[in-house]
Amino acid sequence: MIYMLLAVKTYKVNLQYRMAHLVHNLGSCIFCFVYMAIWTGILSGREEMSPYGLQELLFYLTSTQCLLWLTTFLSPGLQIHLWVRSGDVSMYLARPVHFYLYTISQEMGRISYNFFYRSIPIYLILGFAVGFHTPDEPLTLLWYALSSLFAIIIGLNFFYIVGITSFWTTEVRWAMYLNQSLILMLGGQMLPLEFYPEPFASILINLPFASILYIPSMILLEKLSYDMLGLQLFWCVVLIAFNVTVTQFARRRVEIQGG
Amino acid sequence: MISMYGRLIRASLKASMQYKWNFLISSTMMGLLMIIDFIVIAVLLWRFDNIRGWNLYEIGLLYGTVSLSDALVRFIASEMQDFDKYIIQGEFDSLLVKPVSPLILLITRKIDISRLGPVFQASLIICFCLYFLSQQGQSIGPLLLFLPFVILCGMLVCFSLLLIMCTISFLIGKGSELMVFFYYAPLNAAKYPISLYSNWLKALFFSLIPVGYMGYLTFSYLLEKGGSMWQFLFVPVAVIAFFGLSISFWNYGIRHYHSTGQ
Amino acid sequence: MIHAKQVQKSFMLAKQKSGPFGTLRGLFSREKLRIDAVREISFAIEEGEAVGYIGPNGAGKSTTIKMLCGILHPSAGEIAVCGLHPQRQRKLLAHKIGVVFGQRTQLWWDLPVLDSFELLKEMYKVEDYEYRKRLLRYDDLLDLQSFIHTPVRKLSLGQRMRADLAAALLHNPDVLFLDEPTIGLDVVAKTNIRSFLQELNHQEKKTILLTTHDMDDIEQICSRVIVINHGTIISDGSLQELRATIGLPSQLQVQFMELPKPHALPEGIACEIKGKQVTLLYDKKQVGTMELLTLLRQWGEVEDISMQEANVEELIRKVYEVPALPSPKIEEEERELISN
Repeated sequence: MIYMLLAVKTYKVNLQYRMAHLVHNLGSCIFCFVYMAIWTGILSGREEMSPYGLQELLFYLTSTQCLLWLTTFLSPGLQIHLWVRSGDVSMYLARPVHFYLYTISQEMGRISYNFFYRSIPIYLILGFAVGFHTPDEPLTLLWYALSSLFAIIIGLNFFYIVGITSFWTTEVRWAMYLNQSLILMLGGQMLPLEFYPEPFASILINLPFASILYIPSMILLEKLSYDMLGLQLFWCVVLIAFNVTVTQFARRRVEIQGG
Repeated sequence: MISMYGRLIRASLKASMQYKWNFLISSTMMGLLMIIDFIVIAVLLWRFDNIRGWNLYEIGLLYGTVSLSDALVRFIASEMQDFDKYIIQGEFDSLLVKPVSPLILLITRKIDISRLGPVFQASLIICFCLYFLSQQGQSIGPLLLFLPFVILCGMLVCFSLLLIMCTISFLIGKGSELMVFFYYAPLNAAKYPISLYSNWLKALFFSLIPVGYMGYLTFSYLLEKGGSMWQFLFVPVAVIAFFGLSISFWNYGIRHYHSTGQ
Repeated sequence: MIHAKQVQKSFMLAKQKSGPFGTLRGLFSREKLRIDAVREISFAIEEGEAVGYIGPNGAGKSTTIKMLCGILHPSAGEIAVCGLHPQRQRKLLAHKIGVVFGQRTQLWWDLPVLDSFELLKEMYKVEDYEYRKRLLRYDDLLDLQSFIHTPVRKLSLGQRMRADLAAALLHNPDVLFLDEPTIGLDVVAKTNIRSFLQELNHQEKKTILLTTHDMDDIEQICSRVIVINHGTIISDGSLQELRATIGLPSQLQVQFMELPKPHALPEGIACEIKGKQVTLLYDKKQVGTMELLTLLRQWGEVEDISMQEANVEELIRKVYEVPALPSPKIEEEERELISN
């Protein structure tokens, strides 16, 4: 199948850079160590003030750091803006494949690569520093996997939105920054969402950003039940429907105005 | 050089002003990442009051100055962060056929106007924190007096780090992968008190990647967080030494390029 | 103007490791390959000469040019350009030479062309009056006006090359080094650039040294050709002399409907017949193409014709076949390493 093939190709392209990426991973771990140090500094001697223990928070940070590489640090705009700028986009639209699936499956190849050469090494390094979390209930791992899958889909769709805006605006750099900032902050990358003051905390948990980092990580820590998968699924459906529709509009725009 | 730089700034401004809104929005958004990080810390400290004795405004001051130094350097010497392309596309050669030193040429190659967003927002954080510190009864006179000193030291450290990255980049042919480990991550770490980190990170930040001298030592003395006068006095010595080291490393790199480059 | 005496340049290249963790092992490996990019080159170029410097990829052309500009330092030998020492007096020399690398621009990518010019004016400390005078002149010759306010990144390749050429000339250098100035350009753009360079050479007596893969560049601009292969000069002389050594630079391929019946051809034409296909190698200066075609019509009914100018690579191969230089096989592999 063409979509599978695309993913495999992107995977292989990325494979060429694996040595460089492994060095890069050390940097990513330092970022995480900084956040871990901040939490250790905050909670030292007063763990009772927090709903979570220090160890739990360190596991939480490990989980979000690994998820970042699958959901948040994707190719900027899924490269759509580059095609729009070069005019190649009309060629892509003319191909007998669905544009949405085309871009998504291409990025899926990169995400699978990131899983093996980014997330897993980072998980191992961080794990050796703070320990490996084993959930009480083995089934949790299944829920975690499922929840992460939903998180990937949601992340991909956010990136797709950023990319597709390039059909209407020339400059998408700001949208990329906005997207990433929102996921990092509202997704609870270093600060679990219940630490925000009410009513923000309850609102944030229901936004799609929470589904990207916070919900999967909390499911792993068994602080949230698998009910939350329903919320993630809901956001997946909404975002996919939205993006497929927007793609139609973008296509029409190109057909009318030319690439 | 100054007049060339002035000309470059004017030309870049003129070019960006043609897309006023684009410029405004992208520079604001670029700063947003930084502000958002700060908001997260603010929420955290609103909940927990202090981290090892540093309150929100004190951390904010450190955070703001380090961010400002970084943003200023990346505004002025923006080409140094993606120096790779000079090596990969061979553009470095064209720097070496000009009657000006290649380093000056590289710096004046481009300025990144949209970095003014982060510059502005970092300054905002500093002002905000200074105001509340004075409300808390902290005497901000010495802080204000030493602020330019801290920012300048920070800029020198950032610049030297970037220069070393560039040199490594043309010695081994690639370098952008190293940027995260040697620049972005340490810079992020320098925005918080170095005392929080484990010993090996502390050692790293005061030696090989000396981001500890950017703001932490000065403020831990001025804000009485256990820093001593001697450490404070040592800051300019260390920073200038590191700067000199990076310059001679760069010169070594150029010489090496002359005799081995392709 | 340009003197090179027994110049050599060799690189040490870390040997690439293959297999798992190849790059990593490469970092620690001490095994190195010595590559002689330029072996021993001597030549002298006088003021006002236009010299073509040709050779196959990896022959050492760019390395030589880079040494002449002071970018690279020779491992041995002496170089003097405009009486200056390119290594020790690099900045001084920069005022006297103009350099254009065909595949890269020295202009400021995001700025309009005019802003780039002003920055260069500042850098080379060109007088206002001189600057304006030259800008007018080059605008006249290169028609810069139509895109002078456009950011460089938006220029077409041809426009960019014109802008780059003007930029290299703003400080009125005596010597011009051009590394593949017509690469990737279309026919019209190539013609423009060539006549511009011709004009510079004839009117302003600028010394020009250019590398190229296009024989037409050489034919129209250069009075002298230096051929380099495997880091050594294998021929140095006028284009006519080069032609005499190589001969037969044009190729005509004719496909006949039936098996052709060969007749006699004029002197100096090589002919190869393969079934219905006939390949002729000839010198355009001696025999016109139309003349040849008329002759060939007598051989039978022609189905298809294709023509090809011999490219530099082919020429070099021909020169190279005559005076064979000893070249151990391993060096071929080394050279491939360079070009990768």
